[in-house]
Amino acid sequence: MKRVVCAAIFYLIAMHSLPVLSIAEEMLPETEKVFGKYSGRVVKIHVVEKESGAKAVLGSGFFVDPHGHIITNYHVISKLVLHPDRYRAELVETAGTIRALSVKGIDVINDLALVKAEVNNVPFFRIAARELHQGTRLYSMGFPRDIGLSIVEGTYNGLMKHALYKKIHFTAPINPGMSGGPAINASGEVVGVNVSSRGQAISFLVPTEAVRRLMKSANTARKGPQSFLEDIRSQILAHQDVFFSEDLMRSGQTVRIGDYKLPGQLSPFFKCWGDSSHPEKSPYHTVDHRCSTDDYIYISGEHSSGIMSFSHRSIINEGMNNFRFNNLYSELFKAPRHYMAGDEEEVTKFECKSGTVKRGEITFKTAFCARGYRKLKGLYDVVFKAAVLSSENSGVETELDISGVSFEKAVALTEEYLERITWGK
Amino acid sequence: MGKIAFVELLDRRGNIRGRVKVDSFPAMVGRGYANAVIVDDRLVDAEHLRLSVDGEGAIVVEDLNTLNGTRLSKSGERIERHRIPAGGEAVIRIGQTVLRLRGSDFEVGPTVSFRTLFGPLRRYIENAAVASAVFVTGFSITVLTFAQEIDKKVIWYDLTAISLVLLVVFALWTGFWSFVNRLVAHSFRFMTHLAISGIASIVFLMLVTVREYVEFLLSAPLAAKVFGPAGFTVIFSLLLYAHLSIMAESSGRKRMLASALISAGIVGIVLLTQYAYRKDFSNELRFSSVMKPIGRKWVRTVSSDEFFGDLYKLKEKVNAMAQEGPKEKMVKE
Repeated sequence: MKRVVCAAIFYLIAMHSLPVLSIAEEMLPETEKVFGKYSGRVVKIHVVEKESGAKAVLGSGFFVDPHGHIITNYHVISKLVLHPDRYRAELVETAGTIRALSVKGIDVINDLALVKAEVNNVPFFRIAARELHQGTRLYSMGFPRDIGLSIVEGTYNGLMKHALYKKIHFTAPINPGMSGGPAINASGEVVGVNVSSRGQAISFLVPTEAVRRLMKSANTARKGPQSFLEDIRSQILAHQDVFFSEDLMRSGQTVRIGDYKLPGQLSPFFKCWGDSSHPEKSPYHTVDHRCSTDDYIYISGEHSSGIMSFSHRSIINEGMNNFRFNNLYSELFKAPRHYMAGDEEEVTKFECKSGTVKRGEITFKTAFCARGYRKLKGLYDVVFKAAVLSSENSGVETELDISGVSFEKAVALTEEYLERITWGK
Repeated sequence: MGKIAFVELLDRRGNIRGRVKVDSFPAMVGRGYANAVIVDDRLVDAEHLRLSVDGEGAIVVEDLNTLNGTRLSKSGERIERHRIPAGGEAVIRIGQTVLRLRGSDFEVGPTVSFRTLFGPLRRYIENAAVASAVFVTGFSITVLTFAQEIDKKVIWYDLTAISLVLLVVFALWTGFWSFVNRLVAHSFRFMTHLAISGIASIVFLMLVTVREYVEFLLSAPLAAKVFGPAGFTVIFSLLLYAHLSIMAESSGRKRMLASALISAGIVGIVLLTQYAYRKDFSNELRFSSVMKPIGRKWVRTVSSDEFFGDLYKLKEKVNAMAQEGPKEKMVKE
């Protein structure tokens, strides 16, 4: 009897106190709870220039196992990978303790890196296995502009459309310095890695599949600085095989500009735009059409790769004599459409071959320009320009830019590109 | 009629600084004031030479046993006595002074006609009307050429601006050279220079235009690259030649050679500088973009296969650059 009474009393107490306890926990706002629980797993990463001893890059990262493995962005530690003689990477703990970091693996296509600090038994994040639904609340953490660890709340908005490599569209402001930090769900599972932002609250996360792949591949590795360069090279070459496939030019759409058909949206991951310009005081007008891929590969602050873009322009004469029109046409043809940035340490200057190519009924003024990557041997940036030798009244010129491609691939793509330009009313 | 001799004092370049007529012999030459020819040179004796005429009408020069002696100017051979046959001449050196001795029977060479390259042209361009016409033509062609590069509907503003700028440039150029001419040759010859500036602008524009057409027709930037410097050398040496003709009295051939060498030298220096900086890094694309309103059938074309098949050379070139490493680094090492 006594036992029954005790049990009943215990039951009553338990039944009444549980809601009280859960109310107390619910009273804490979700974000604060998430921050309080998981902020210790996020770390600040400095890449330090050895001679000056000052930080050159600031980024974020997070522990993915108890042995000190940290995931961050490749672009946070790219200087260290490209110039290991000039930079070192450090982990700055909340208490101010500094620990050396070593690179264990990189994935330049998804902008990820796995680094390691010599620590043990650290709290770490688990990688989420569940699929997310649009509108799910997520929390991103990192060190924006070196002003201390921050948490931002936002929503999962699905995967980025028209991109060859998946990226999560996350609606929240991710600021410089938060790169490499985790985006987690309310249960503290990582659902993506902060990588970039566009506009006020449009940000992107690297999905967790890429993180898992990198952790898996890096586990087997051992590495010297040269082998990371080799990794970048082979990753970009593999990217080119997926991206710039053999029948890319042949299978894509065409677009009609004036009397000519030219390559249009080659595949869903190309974004195309068009416009025309009628300058008020000019005796001509132009019609422009341009397409570009979105998946650029960050190599260094000065150099990105992996982009293909092309633009066509039709110039319609409205009253100039033939000499004036040809002078204008030459000038417009000469001007570059797409500026390819690059640093002398990473790329050579452009070398060009000019010519006049006759193909069927069309005669083109052409130029094929290429520059080589100095560190990533066998990769090139290529610009191809072609202008249809004009009639008196109009001209059509086009530019194709491909970055991070093998020479042979570039030549094959360019040849196909020219092949796709046809005439016909 | 007795013999008449002339003693001419020459400067280092062979120009005559003074000439003394000697018509009574023997005549003395020296530093002293009792001489027929007085030479103001501390290395010359008071009585240095005696000039006399022998039976055959030759002038005889005798050194009067002087301290520093008398020498033939060209060979440096010391002479005690030297005979100048009738119609001949001698150039001798006493002390630091060079004397040329000729008799009145010395025969001068034929008259040299004014046959420089610009000789025949000069007659016309010195005519004010012709010079003005040439200038106006040159100026107009220049303005018209610029007009072909304007891509606006109303081009009169631009044309006026360009014309005024060009007018100032032409005037400055002409004025400068006229001034130089005034300093060197004591006359402005403004009209001549006006005409020359007109001609120079016409030739220059022709050169630029021809270069562009060569580049377009042959699709050969290299041919155009050679054509440019070569054309510039020719124009510059012609201008230089014309200007040298008023300044020096050397032969036309020598002047031509000097002008050509100087022009080639200047062009060479420019090309060398370009060559030295050829590896400088830039993200610029340098290719041939010139298009001209000529029928396509005149243009040298290649097939698509040929164009793309030939790109391996470009690849090798780029690879070689990539292999070399950046220029800066090479300097540091």
